[in-house]
Amino acid sequence: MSDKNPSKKILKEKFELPVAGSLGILANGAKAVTAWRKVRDNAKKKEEKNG
Amino acid sequence: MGNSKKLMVIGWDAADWDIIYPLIKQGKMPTLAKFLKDGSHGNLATLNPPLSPMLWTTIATGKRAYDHGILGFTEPMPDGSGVRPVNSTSRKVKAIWNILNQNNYTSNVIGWWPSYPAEPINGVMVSNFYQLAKGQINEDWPLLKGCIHPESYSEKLKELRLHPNELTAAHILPFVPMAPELDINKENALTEVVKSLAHASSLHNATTYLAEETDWDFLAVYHDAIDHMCHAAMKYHPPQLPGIKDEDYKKYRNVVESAYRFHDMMLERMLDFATEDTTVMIISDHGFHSDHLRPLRLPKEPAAPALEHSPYGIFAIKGPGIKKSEKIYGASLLDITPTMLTLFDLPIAEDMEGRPLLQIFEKDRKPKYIDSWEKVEGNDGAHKESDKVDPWASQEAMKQLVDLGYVEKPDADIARAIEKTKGELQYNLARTYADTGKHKEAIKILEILLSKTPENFRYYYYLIQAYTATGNINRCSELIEKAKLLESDESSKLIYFEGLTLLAQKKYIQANEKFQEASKLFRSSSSLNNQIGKAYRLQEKWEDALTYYETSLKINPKNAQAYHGRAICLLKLGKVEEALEDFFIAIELLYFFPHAHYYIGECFVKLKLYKNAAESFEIALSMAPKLGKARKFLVDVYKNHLNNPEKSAFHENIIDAKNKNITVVSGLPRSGTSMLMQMLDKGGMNILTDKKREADESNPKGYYEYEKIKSLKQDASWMDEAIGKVVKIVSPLLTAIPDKYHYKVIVMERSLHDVLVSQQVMLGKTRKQALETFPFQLAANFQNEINKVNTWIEEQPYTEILKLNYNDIIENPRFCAEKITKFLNQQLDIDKMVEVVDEKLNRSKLK
Repeated sequence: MSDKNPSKKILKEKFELPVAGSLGILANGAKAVTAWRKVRDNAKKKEEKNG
Repeated sequence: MGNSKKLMVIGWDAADWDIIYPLIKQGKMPTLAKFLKDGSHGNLATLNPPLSPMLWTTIATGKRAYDHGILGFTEPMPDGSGVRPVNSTSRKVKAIWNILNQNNYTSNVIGWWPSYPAEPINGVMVSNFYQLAKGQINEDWPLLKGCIHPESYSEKLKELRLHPNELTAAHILPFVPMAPELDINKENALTEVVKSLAHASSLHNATTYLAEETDWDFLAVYHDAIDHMCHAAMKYHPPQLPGIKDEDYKKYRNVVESAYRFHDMMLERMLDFATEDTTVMIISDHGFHSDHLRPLRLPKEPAAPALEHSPYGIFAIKGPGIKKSEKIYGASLLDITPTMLTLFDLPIAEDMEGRPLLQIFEKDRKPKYIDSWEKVEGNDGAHKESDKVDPWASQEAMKQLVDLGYVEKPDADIARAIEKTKGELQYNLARTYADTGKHKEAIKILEILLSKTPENFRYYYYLIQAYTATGNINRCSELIEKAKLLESDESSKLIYFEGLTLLAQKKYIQANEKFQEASKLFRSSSSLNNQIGKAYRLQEKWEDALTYYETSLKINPKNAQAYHGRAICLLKLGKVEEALEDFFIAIELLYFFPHAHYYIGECFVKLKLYKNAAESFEIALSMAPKLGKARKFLVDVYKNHLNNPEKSAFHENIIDAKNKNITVVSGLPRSGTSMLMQMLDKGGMNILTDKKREADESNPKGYYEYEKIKSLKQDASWMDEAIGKVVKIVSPLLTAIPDKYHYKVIVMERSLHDVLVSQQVMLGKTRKQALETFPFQLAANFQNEINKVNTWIEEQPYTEILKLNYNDIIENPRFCAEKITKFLNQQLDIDKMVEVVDEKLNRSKLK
């Protein structure tokens, strides 16, 4: 965990998630987790598509 | 606070300032650091036993466990088929959200323990079963029926849960940097971290969603992740404890710190939903030992992890009208509901033991009061009465069906599990009673438990303490001897108990020998040093006592009793200002400490600060109305120093009234009360009677009654007339006698069967008819009445009681008359008293 609390930064960037899976995303609650899941699932789909 | 203002309550189970303050200092909890600057904060004293479902229900109701009914982690299933986690339906009183519901406020309550099944409140309730994960990530993970109210939120909230398997290494690394190298199946602490983080995240998702998407006046969320991660890894928290392997220390040393930092991050997000008109409160139910007081090992007994809990949780509040950067003292869990009600400008109930924390407000608040919220009608959003099932009643109903052969007896293991659970809940109830000084109630329960499992050492542990408090030294000694025969790891503690018993007998030197012996056998503790200090203090060896209180404070710098003991010694040594400082620390740690308030008053008198002295004595009396020495000081302070003769007279009158005896004859109707009244009359006592009820066949020598007694519960203003006299008060009214007099009560006892038959005969039946139509239901009701009165009698430490048996008087009137004379300390005419018990009454009994 970095000494600087990352949550505010993530909020400002409107959930364009800089680091997938950081604690800051969990700490930001429903919207952040939903956005993170979307990014995660899209990345997974892309990966599957590219074989 | 009207409908335009809001209250947000954030519960962090087991959060402790001892961990938070250093983290704040290092800049690792920036959100909470700012929160404390913007508001007020302090310790929050817990209750015993420190078990979370009981404590969080106290926080939400303002009632102790014996009133609110939540007594542990599990409870028997209503149908007797097993044991289940404790349900919200077992709560017997209204929670804050029920009271708010009745006042048209909307609440969102998330994860509160216990809140399953969710209550039908105005708003949303997400119960404490919501976040519990099941199966693998790709498996269906349904919500339990009744998990969320209203049902319409289920679909959305179901999606917001986070399964532990969704967490990636990046989530876990801050807690356990070596996680990728570890086998989660072999690492219990790691499993607990992952599970707790997922649970916290699920609850936080639900909370943030509801905070943003719904209108609410009250929002409360409960998180248990700090508690769970501390139980899993506090032993690995720095500094490294002796006995903890380097390898394990390296793996888990970050868990506790990261748990707190994660909560600080969640708090930051929560505060985004706190608009300018929102008051935010952060609370924990107890603390968690993080220093040398961390227990080295836990006994093998249910709820043993609670021994890791420390007695002070946290309380922090900020919002409009709340003082900034203010430290508050003496708050307890019982004060939270009264404070929440005050924030909503709603009345506090007289049947709540706590007080609102008025010191947090910038402007003076005058709280309003009502008798009880339980009596207030209207939609409270609670489960319907028909949904509530008393697990005990259901169990009993189940047992009866089994006994009657209607259903099969549950499997032996299930039956054993149910019995164990019942025992555990009763044990917790007994500890709750003991915590509030209701030792007689505790003893009743513990004696039953002990009779069922005489090998259970912990029952001896609490029974001996309760008997010491009630002065039953013989039973203490018996129990110590019995416990010595047990092969328990804890048996060395018996020496400590022997010391306590000797101390109660004022055998100070022998007591100290036992305590010294005990100190050689197990790790020195604060309580042991406090007892040694007390033994020296009672011998007026102030310097010796001081040494031990100081040792106690070195072991535990938060021990209120040690500060109190040290302060008494300092006061006796003439160091008034130093003593005052210690007494203040004692009440900062534990506000409900009447003797400490009394001594503060005494210090102020010595310093000639009479206004402060009067305030302290008044507080002491409000907590312990029978603390006579405080009242004596008040008479003097008001009369001679504060020029307030009215207040002085008020207290003087109470002392006078207490010095004047009222003799009460009590018992069930037809238990021989009129006969006893007649004996006392003939013996020479003054009787208070209006003779309105004339003698008849049933009582040929009169009833000796006084009409006004019938309305005693409504009006006791006439009681002055009874000073120095004998008055007959039947059992059901005995508990209504006002507190301000000194009583000597003679209770007549007679077999319930004989009483009821005699009553039936008095109502016109023949004895044969009375026997044939014996009123069993009435007998049960009367038995309840007798039990109630017996409980009341046991609670009256300053009321002298003499119990006399009707048949004993008939058979041996002289012996009983002498006994009465001795009890009343009066010169009565024994011969005339004996004459009263004439053959006629004896014959009528034999008929």
